[in-house]
Amino acid sequence: MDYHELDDSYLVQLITRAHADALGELYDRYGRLVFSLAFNIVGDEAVAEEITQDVFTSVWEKAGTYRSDQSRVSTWLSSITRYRSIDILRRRGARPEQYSVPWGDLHAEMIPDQISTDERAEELILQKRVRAALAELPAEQRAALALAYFRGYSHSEIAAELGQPLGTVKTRIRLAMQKLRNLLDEEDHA
Amino acid sequence: MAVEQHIIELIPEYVLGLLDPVESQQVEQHLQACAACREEEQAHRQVVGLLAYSAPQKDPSSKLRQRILQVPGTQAIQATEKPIPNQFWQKLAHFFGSPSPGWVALTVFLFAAWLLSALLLGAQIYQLRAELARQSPLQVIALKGTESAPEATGVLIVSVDGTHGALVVDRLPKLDEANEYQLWLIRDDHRESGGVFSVGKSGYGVLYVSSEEPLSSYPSFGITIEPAGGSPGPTGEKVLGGDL
Ligand SMILES: [Zn+2]
Repeated sequence: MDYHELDDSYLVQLITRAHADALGELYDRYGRLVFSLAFNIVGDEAVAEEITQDVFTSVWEKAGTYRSDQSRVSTWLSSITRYRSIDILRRRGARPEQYSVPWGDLHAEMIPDQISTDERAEELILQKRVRAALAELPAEQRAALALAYFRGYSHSEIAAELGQPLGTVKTRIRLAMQKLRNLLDEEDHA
Repeated sequence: MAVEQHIIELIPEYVLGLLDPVESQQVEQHLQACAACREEEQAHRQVVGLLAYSAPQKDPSSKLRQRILQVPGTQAIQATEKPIPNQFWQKLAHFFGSPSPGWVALTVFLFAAWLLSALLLGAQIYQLRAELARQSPLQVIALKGTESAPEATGVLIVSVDGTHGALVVDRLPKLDEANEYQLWLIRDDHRESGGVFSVGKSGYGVLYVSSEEPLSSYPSFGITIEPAGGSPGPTGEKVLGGDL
């Protein structure tokens, strides 16, 4: 079987039937995404690798819980990754050394044009789309959303970090998410 | 909350995990009954999913792929039915593989406790507890099964400085794939997650616990059944509980 040709959700189906090669292919597609997200949350390569291993192990064990009608495979993976990473961040009680969350300078962070495979090409397109959408948000909305997304902060922690009232923080996050939803959704149907 | 009152404005915070447990539960209840809000929820989940692509990308070490495929790969050879990985051993191997301050003695201790608890069943675990309490400066908290899991027992072992601990459980029912057990650190109305874990067919499970505030500052501990990955606050049946 040429796993390379199969779509994501079919790979997950094969994983429920214990096809180890399907897990390998899924890792080749999303291992980097999972690892990068974990690293950006916990700020430690070794811990990020452990989380990545943990995520793919739980995919192996729990592939049956994936619902293809509800989300993309990448969404499912990134949500498991984000939850685990934030959980570890909280339980360690330590904050990453380099404190700044990503998205500081979306225009300056150029994405390298080293396209080697079709999958990488798709990944790069998604990266550019998402960053372009984020760049359209006012900086203060982006800052609040980044602390919620990458640090798992609560409203009040975000308010304290940014020195803003709670209500302002809530509004900023709602507006940011609604705008992203519209921007990214439009493009989905474009 | 009535179906008529939509909760659209709460959805962004809901999918980001920013709502408190009560609000979350209200949103969940509404979503079960309202297709319009459910559609909105899925759209926002996709947005949160896409945000993963915004993080600067970085390659993991090339050995990681092999490490990940090792476990299932070997088991899949003879598999017509999916094997059940022995989570306990995986987790224990994981502890040994990742040293962190103050954990070494704890791990050795944990292993001994596990071996002992594997031999001593039921009420004897409480003798073990008394024994440990006499011999060791570590604090040992016994957890008792609730009506939902009357056979279950457990111990939470807390390090001298109170910042690290290990949970060992026995005779908990094995859950289906959609659910996991979650430990809660309880103080007044506050419930802090101590982590999620599963048990195999044997009913044994182990969880390494650390917390921002000393574990010894929580007067009570509880374990509930939650959707896989855990919940922001307890939502499911309580199976074990105990007090400091
Ligand atoms: Zn509704």
